Amino acid sequence: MNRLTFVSPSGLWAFTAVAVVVVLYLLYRCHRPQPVTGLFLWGRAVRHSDGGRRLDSPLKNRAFWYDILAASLLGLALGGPALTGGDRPVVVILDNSFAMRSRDNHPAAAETARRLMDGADRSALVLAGVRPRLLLDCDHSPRQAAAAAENYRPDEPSADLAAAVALAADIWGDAPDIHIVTNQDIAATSLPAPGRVTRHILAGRGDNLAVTDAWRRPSRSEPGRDRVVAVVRNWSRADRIVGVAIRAGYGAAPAAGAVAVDDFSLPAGAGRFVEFTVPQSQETLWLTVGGPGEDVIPDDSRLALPPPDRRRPTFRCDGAAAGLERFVAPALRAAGAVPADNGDAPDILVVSGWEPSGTGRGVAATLAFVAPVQPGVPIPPYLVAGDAALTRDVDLSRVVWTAAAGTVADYPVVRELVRAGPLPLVWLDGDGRVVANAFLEENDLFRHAAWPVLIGNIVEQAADNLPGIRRRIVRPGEPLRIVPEPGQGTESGQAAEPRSTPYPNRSVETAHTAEPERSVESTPDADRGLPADQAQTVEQGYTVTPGQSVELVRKTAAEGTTEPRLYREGVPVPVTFINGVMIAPREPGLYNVRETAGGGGVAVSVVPSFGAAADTTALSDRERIVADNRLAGNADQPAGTQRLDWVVIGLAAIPILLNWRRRREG
Amino acid sequence: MDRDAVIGLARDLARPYRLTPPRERSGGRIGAFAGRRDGHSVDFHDFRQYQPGDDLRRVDWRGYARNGQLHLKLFREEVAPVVEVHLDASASMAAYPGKEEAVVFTAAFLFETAVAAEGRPVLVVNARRHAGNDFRSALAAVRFTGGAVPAAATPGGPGGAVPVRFFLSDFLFTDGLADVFARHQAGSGGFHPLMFLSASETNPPWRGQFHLHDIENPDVGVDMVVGADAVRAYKERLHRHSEGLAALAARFGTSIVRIDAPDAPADNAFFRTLADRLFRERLVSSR
Repeated sequence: MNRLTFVSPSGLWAFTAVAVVVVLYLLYRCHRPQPVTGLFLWGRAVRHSDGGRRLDSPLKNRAFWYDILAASLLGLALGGPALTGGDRPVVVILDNSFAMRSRDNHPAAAETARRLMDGADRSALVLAGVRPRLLLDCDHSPRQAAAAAENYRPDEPSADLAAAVALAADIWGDAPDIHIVTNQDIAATSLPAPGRVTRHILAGRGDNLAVTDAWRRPSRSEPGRDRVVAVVRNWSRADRIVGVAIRAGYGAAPAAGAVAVDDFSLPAGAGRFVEFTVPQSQETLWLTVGGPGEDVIPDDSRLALPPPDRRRPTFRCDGAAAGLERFVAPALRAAGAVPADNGDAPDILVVSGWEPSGTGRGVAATLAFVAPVQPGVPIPPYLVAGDAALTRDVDLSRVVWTAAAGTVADYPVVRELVRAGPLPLVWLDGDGRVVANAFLEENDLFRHAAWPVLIGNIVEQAADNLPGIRRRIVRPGEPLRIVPEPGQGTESGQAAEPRSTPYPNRSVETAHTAEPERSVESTPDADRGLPADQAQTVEQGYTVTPGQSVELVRKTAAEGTTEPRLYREGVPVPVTFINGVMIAPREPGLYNVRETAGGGGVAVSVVPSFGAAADTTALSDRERIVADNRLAGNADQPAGTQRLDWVVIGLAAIPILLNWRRRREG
Repeated sequence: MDRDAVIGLARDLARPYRLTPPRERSGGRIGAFAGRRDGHSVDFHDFRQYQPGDDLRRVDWRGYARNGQLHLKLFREEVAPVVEVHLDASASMAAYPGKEEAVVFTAAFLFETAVAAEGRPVLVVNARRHAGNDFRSALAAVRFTGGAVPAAATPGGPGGAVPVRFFLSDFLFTDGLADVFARHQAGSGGFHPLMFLSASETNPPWRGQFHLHDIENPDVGVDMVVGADAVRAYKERLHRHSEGLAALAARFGTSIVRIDAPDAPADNAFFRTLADRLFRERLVSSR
C-alpha cells in the first residue's frame, strides 16, 4: 500500500494560511450596503428584517470554501507530499566478508538473498563489507537479481553490518524490511534498527573454511616458479578439527584434481599460513579450499591470484658501497636484478659511508640500502656465495648490536623492519628506502670477518617485513644464526639442510614451511633467557598504504597475555577480534602494535586488500556511504518515492479558478 | 449647486426659448396659444351664416359680392394653456446630486419657457398643485423622499383647461407604469414623459460584495457579488425596461425622452446641453 509522506514537513506551516483566509473573510468579506434606485434591475430581491453593514458568516459563502480549499492544497503542496510506492521494500544485506567464502556459506547466502528478494514486490541488495555498497536498487530487474546472486564473491576482510543497516535507513527511511544474511552471530541489539530487521545467520552445515588472503610472487629460491602464500581460516562452529585441502590451478575453471597444495588440520577459530610454489605463468592462479578428498572444485569458492610483476629490478652500487659490490652484486643478480645503466634510476641503490670513529676504536660504517618499496619487487639477500644465499646461516648470538643515532636522523624511521633491542636496525625511511644501520665501531660486528653476511641476514629479515603477508617480530636476544664461512649453515659448522616437505612433488621454500604457524610465538620468555620480571613492551610499526589493511591474528592466548593494542600514528584505534582475528580499519598510515612481551604473541600482517579500495576522502564513513549510494535526482527522499507537489498545485488551481469565475460573473 | 442656483441657471438658459405649442388644441385663458373656439385673434378659423346682430365688420363682403350670400368670418381665440409639470418626488430622484439637479433644472426650465409662451405653469408634486410664483418656491422646497410610485396626478386644470403635462421621473419602477401613463395622458393636451437617469444608474461603477437595497425601501435588498457579468446583466435589464417604456409611451401617443445626467455635474455645461436637448426634442422652441 502506498504511503503518503512529506519530503519537506516544515512546509506544512503554510497551512496557517488557512487561518489567514478565515480571518480575512471575517474581517473583510462582509456585504457592504449599497442603496440602488432600481433594485428590480439587479435580479431577485430578498426581504430582510434589518439593514446596515452586515457581517455575514462565511460558512454559507461558496467563495470562502473555495479559498479555504485552495489555501489548504497550497499548504499541502509546500510540504512536499510524496507517495512511497508499493509495499515496504525488502532490503537484503549480504555479508561480503571472506568468512562467507566457505563452501557451506557461500552458495547458501546467495540462495537466501535471492529467495528473499524474489518473494518481495520491491527489494534491494546491499553488500556489507568494510564499507557497505548498494548493489541493487528497488527498480532492478529479475535478471539483475539473478546476476547479482550468481556473481556474489565475498572478498572483504570484514563486514560492517551496522553500517549496512544504517545505509538502508539513509536511503529508505524507516520503511524498509531488512534481512541480514551472514554467518556472524550478531546480536540484534548491536544494530541500528529502522523498520524491521531479520537476521538470517547461516550456520555452517559442514566446514566453514575460506582462503582469506593470498599473494603470489616470483620465487627467489626457485627460478621459474612463483611463490604463493595463502591464509586459510576456519570459522566452523564445530569445535573439532577438520581436514582442509588447498588446491591450485590455472585457467578459468580449474579442473577436478588440480594440484593438491596442502592438506592439514585446522581447529575451529584458527587460521594458518600455507606456502607453496607453482610454475610461473601469466595466467590467473585459482585457489580453493575444501574438505579432504573432495575432487570437485566449486567455482564459487575460488580465490583468484593474478600473475605477479616479473620485471627484473635494476641495481647499482655507489660510493663506498662500491667496495661491497663483490658481495652485493652477486646476490642481486641471483635474485634476478640487473645492473642499472648509469643514466637510469635503479630500483635498488646500495650506498655506504665510511667515517673515522670518534672513539678511536675503529671505523664507523653506515650502510644504507636504498630500495624503493615496490610490492612484488623482491629485496633479495645481498650476500651470496655462488648461487646460495648466505642469509639464514648467520648467528649473531654473541654480537652486541648498536646503531648510529646519526643515521636515524639522516633517514627518519617511518616503519621498522628489524629491531635490535630498543634500537631500530633496519627500517623504511620517508622516501621508501630500506635503511640498515650498523654502527660497526660500537659493536663487535665489525670484528667478524663475515660481517657483511650479518648485514645480509639483517636485510633478509627486513625483506620479509616488507609489504606482504608474513611478519616477524625479532625479540631481544633472539639468536640469528651466522655462518662464518660460506657454506657453513649452523653453529656446528654444518650447512643447513633444506627442510623436507611432505609433498615431494613440489618445491617449497625451506625456512618458511618449517613452522606452519611460524608467526605464533608461544614460547615463554623464560625459555628465551629473559627474567620474567623483565617482560617489556614491544612495538612494531607497520605502514598501511591504500589497498592494505592491518590484521592481527591471535593464535594462542597464554596465561597473562595482554590484549594487543593497535595505534595509528600514536592514536589508539578501536579494534574488534572476531574468532581470534583482529580486524582494523583500512585507513592508510603508520600503525603500531604494542603487546607485552611474554604473552601469547601475535602475528601481524599488512595484507593486501581484495575488493573495494580504501577511500581517502575527508568525509565521514556515513557521509561517504550515503554520497556513494545516493540515488540520482532523489537525494533526500526514500527510494521509490513519487512526488505529488505539482498534482496538488494543479488541484489548488481548480478552486482558485472557480472563485475567479464567480467574481467575474458576480 | 444648491437648488436656488439651479433654478436661477434654468431661468437664464430659458430666455431664448418658449414652450412649444402643443399639437392638440388647448383651452383656457386668452393667451398666446390658439384656442379651439372662436376668438379675436388674427388667425382665420371658419365661416358661418350671418345672423342678425352679428358684427358687420366680420361679414365676408367678397364672398357676398361673389355669391350674394352673407357669411361671417370666424377667427381663433387666443388662449393661455396650463402647463403641468409633474414631479416624481420619490427618493430615487435624489439618489445622485446630478440627477436631482437635472430634474429641478428641467422643471424650472419648463416653467420659464411656459411663462414665456404666456402659459400657466403648474408644479404638481406629491399630489399638490403649485402655480405662479408658488411654482418656484415649491420647486425650491421639494423634498425627494417619497415612495416608489408617484402620487396620482390631479387630472384637468382650472376652468376646464386642457393642460399640457410633463412628467419628470426616473421611471425605475414596474408597478402601475401603465396606470401612470394612462392617468397623465387622460385629459391632457399633450403628455411628455421625461426619464432622468444618473451615470451610476446607467453604468454602475462599484464592484465587490454588496448588500443592494432599494433606496426607497431599505427592507428590500439582495446580497450579491457585483462583477462585470452582474453589471452587464443589469444594463441589459435597464435596456429592456427602457424599451418597454418607449413602447408604452407610443401606445399612449407620445414618446419618452431619456436624459442621462452625470452623478454630480462639474460645471454648467451639462445644463446647457440639457437645454439644448429639450430644444432638439421640440419641447421648447426659439422665441
